[in-house]
Amino acid sequence: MLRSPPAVAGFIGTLSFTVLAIFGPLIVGQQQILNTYTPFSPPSLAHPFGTDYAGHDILSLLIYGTQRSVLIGFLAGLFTMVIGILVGLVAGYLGGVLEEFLMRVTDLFIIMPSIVLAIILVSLLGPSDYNIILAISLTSWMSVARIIRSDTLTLKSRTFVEAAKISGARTFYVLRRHILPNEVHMITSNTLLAVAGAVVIEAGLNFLGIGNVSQVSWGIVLYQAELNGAVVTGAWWDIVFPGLFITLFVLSVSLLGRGLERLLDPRGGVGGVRAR
Amino acid sequence: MGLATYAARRAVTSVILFFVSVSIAFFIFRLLGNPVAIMVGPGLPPGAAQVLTAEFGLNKPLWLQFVLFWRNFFHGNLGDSFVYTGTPVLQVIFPTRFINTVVLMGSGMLLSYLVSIPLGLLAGRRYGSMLDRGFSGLSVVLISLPAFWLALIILLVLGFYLGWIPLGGTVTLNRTFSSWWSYAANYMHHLIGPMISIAVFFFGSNFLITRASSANVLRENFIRTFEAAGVGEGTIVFRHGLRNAILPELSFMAVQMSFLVAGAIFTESVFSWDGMGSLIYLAVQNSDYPVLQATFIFIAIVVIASNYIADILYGLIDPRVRYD
Repeated sequence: MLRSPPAVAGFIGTLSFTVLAIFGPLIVGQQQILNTYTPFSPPSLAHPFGTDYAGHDILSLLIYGTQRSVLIGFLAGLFTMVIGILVGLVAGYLGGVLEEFLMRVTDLFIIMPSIVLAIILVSLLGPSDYNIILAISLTSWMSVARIIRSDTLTLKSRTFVEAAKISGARTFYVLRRHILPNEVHMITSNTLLAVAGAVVIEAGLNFLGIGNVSQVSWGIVLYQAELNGAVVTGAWWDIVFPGLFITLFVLSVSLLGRGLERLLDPRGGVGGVRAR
Repeated sequence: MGLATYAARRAVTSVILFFVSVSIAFFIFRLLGNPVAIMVGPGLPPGAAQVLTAEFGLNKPLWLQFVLFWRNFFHGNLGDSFVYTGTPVLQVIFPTRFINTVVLMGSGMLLSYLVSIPLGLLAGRRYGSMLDRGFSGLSVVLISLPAFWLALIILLVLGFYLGWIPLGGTVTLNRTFSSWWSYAANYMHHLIGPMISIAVFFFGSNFLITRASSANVLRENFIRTFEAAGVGEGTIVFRHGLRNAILPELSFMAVQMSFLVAGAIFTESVFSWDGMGSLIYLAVQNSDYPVLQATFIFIAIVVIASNYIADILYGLIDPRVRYD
């Protein structure tokens, strides 16, 4: 991976955002995001990213909000993977009527407009972070399920799995010992892609104002900017910097994901790296 | 099995999908919220609430409500909007908002294809060149951008700083137009911003899909034969590359449609474009559940229909497809 500059950049970016997410509220503190200065003042030495409609320091808001955005994205990405892996493994390994049923459900979810479904779920269930996580996971697991199913299908017919089955290994043992370890590379990369996707959806839901707008997150900063006329007053810093945070996070995490997929692929990745 | 049998079988599954998705909409709205509050709306006197509760049959058991919902559905009655009081939701969607969305999405996608497909074909042909690496890198960045942020930036640059486009709306409000032409010109002027946003939003994925299929096809033996026979580079790239690049675009239809819906919601909200996307945004802001439910059902129908058409087209365009 060291020989791939995009993957290294992705790793550094992801690491920086993780540090910000863990220590952000400690670096900035509750008081610092409540302080108000001159509204809509452009970037300066005192406020490197300028101030918003109410005079909050935007850099402080973004650093403070990193924790909430990244945590929601991480948990939603994780649950997306759990649902997707369960559906994919069961459908691919057990087959039969169950597979047919699960794949029809997957098709149904692919065809339903997931962003509309997520918007409806959050607005009916109420604007909490838990409901946002639930809505994102319930509407984005389908591609993972398809990938895991098709890989499980090919692994199932390989000789080492056949051998394990013939020697009397239980289903759960085969899945844990033979199937899942061979899917680690795609699980890792897809988790990172799911986290990146979840952060964008979360920012979008919050931008539309259907999340809990009394808290701080990247999407909320953009929601407040749009609501309070940052565009018509030309306060570009109130729009550019929050979006830059989201974009850099998504880019870093996806680049790291692509890099890791090649590194961890047990069937031989780029650069002759082989796991085990 | 021929194409006709395949088309008939896919039609049956599409109809089943349609019934299941609309039923899901029914159950989501009845079970996750308070149905009386959802269907009757806020701020009505108790008497009116009772009348409306009876009209929608909300005092009846769930299975009967389900039957009544379908009966109303086939009578074209999906309830009345809370916000535009007394207006049936279908009239809120049709025809203006529906046409506006179709115009925006159609022109945005067309612009995106016109730029991304030729570039993708060339990049695939010159795999690994500066052109290929430059546009691939750009595409990876572009698909990482949130759609609403992209729209905001375009609005800020083209609208606020350069003053080339209006800051929002579909036409200039409170203005009488002297002729059909001046109305159309004003409409087109408002269309530029959101159209460019949609085009840029889709550039990344369209470019990468075209590039991948072009890179695969243009290295096959029949292309080498053409080269040896002296067939021109333009013919090779645009005739043989293009034919094969359309197929993956079609098979990505389901995924593209969900991107399109998201693109519509965010772009239309930012540009206050009077379409179905901004309608969803407004309905959420005002808890206008009948409109939200109707829009969901409508989008599901459009997505199912376009997937069906894409599947049939695939079979018509690609002579290699066999249905067995």
